[in-house]
Amino acid sequence: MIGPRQILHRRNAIDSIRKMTRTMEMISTTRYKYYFNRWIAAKEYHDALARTGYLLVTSPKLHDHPLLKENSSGRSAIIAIGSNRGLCGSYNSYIYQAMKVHIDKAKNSGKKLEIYAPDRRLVGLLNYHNITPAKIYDMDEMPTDEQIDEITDEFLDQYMSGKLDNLGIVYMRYYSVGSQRPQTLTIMPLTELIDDLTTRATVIWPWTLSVEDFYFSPSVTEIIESLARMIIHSSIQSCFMDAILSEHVARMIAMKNATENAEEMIKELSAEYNRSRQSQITRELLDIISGAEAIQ
Amino acid sequence: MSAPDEKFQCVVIAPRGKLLKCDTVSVVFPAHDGQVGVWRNHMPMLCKLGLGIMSVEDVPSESELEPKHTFLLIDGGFAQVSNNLLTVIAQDAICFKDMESEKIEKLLEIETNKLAHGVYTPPQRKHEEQKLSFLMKLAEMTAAVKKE
Repeated sequence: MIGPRQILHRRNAIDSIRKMTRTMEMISTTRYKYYFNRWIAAKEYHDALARTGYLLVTSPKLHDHPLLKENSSGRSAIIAIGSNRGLCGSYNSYIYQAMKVHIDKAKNSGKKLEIYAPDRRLVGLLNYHNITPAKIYDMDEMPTDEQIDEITDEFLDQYMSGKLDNLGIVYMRYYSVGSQRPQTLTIMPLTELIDDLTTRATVIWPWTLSVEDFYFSPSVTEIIESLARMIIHSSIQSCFMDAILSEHVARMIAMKNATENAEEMIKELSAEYNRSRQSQITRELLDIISGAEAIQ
Repeated sequence: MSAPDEKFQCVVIAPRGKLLKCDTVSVVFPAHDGQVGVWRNHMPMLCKLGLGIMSVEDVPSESELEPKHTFLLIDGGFAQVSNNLLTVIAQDAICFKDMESEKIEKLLEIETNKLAHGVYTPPQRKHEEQKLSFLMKLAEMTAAVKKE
């Protein structure tokens, strides 16, 4: 049987863990609120870009533009966004499962699939499954504009030169505090991205006007490239934002559960400690009494 | 001065959110190839933006003799005009609604520090220098408004 001293030692250790998990929960709550405000503010920007993008992809003048054509190089790529840190439940496992669908699909169709990932927890999981990423990005929790520009330019150039058929981002999409799901957002071909974004947008394009009614400055072919860069940049940014929000929600839930479990354990150990201490006192009293009786 | 019934709507959206939504009588924005003016009933247009100062003239009230303006520093993006609605989707924008001189001075300081210590390619440096010159222009305009 464990003595009261050991129980006390164990209770103190669990109390330290409880404090740690509670702090982590609070940190995630604060960060969640910060990113949530940014997410809400950026929504309108993404919607506005999607509406303008929709106007352009319906233009008959742009049918032959390299950004709107489908390539057939046999090479696809996915960017997988895992969690930045650990202790967030099954977050990375869900992302891996979503990635597995693409890996299997590429294997069955005989296409080459390259995986790109930020230097995060997911890389360890990929190594465990013997998957070597084509490139690991070194970036902050929320990538800077320059870091996103680098990714945008890299894949846009590859797509326009016909070296890439498809680019997708596997990430945890944030719907609300109660709902986050792993999803793939197709970034390229651009038509698929705009189609997806306009479906998500809260306000769709006012149908009374068509692309022929507009005056473009510079020409529509020149505009599409700049707009594509902006749309792709904002889509990648929004995927990272969703991933961070989902990660913090996952961590908040995991840490809340851990804190509650620790509190329950502390309660049980306190009761056990009191019982053990009482029985020790009783035992010592009995020893004293029996000793005194023996002397008499 | 334009009549109040000649108004249209102007919305400026940046990655950080909606910066401006108001009724206006005239807007001048920095397009990729120079300044573009927009009045009511402008034809539908999609225009690429450059770096510069955007000026939005408020709808005049009877008590005001001089029209009020809202200034924004725009850095890239698109302007879209349709159905008497001007939507500016800016890559980066700063709104100076009440011409706060402190805000401009703080931005001037940040921009000067960035230029002094940042590592830039020649085109990036040129861009940052242009941005700084526009901020200085805004600071001058603020000082002029305050004197009046």
